[in-house]
Amino acid sequence: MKITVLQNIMSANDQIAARNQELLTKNKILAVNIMSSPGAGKTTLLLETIRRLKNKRRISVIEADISSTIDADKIIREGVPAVQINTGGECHIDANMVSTALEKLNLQEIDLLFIENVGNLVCPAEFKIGTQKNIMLLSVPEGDDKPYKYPLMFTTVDAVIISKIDYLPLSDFNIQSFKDVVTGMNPQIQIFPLSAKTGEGIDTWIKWLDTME
Amino acid sequence: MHELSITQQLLDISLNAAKEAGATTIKSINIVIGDMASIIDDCIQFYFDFLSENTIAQGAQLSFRRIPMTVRCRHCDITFTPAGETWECPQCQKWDVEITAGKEFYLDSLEVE
Repeated sequence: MKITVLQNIMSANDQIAARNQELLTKNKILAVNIMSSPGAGKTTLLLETIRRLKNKRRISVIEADISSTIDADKIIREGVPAVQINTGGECHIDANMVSTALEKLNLQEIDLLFIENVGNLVCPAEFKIGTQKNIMLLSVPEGDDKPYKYPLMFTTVDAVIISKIDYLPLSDFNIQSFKDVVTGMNPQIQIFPLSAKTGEGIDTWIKWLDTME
Repeated sequence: MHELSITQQLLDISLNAAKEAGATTIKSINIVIGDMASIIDDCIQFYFDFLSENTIAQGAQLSFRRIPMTVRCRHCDITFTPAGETWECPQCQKWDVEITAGKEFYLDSLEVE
C-alpha cells in the first residue's frame, strides 16, 4: 500500500525555529544569525560591532562552536552576556540548540541578539534557527568565486559582508563582479565591504543594523 | 555533513505517517531532493539503517528523486537549468534570476504493509 506524505523533512526544525522567532519578537528582540567559513572574521566583526553599539542597545550573544569557549570568553570581556553552545561535532546549529540557549538568557533585558553560527558555508544555510535577520561574511582571501560554489548560502541571507578589505591590494578579488553575481542571485541582498581591523566601511554596516527594528 | 540529524527527522516523519495509516511494516520511502540541497543520498541510507533498527522501518529501502536546479530570468521570463558555473540567461545574457526549483527536500510517499 502506498501512503502519500508530502512533508518537508526539515519541518520539525522549522517548527521550533518559528517558535524561537515568536519568542524573540514577543520580547522585542532583533536576532541576527551570523554565518561564514571558519576564519572569515565573524568574531572580530562582532566585537567591533559590540563596541560601537553597546551604549545604545542592550546586546547579548549566542556563540556556537564545535568545541571550546574561546569566542564566548572574548564577548564576555566586552561586558556583554554570552552563552556558548558546543555542537559536539555537528557542523551547524539547529533551532533546538538555539531554543535551549534562549532559556539561559534574560530575554527582557535584550534588544539585539547575535547568534554566531559554526564556521561553515554549507550546512547552516539548511537550518533555520528563528532569527529575523540572517547574514554572512565572505572574506577577501577566500576569493570572489564563492557564490558559484555555495549558492544556497548566498540566496538565503539578507546581507553579505565582504570582510578583510584591507587585503584587497594583495588579492584578485573583484568587488564589482562579486556584487553583480550576488545581486543577480538575490536582488534584495545588502552588501557591506569592510575591514573590522582598519574600521573602513564599518559605519555603513552599523547604520544598517541600527535602523533594524 | 548533517545527515544524521536529518535522517532522524526523516525516520520520525515516516514512523508517524505509517502509524496513522495503521501499517505494520515500512517497505520503502520515497524522498525528493533538490540539487541545491547539500545532502548525500548514500549517507542518509547509512544512518537510516542504523537508526531504524528495531522499528517497523527496519530494512526499508530509501529511494531518492533528484530535482535539478532551475532558475527563471527576470528579464525574458524563460526558465533554464544553469550550465556549469554561470547563471547567465542563455537568451539575454543577463544575470538576474530567481530560483524556481532545486531547494526541495521532502518525504513524498511510503510503501507500507
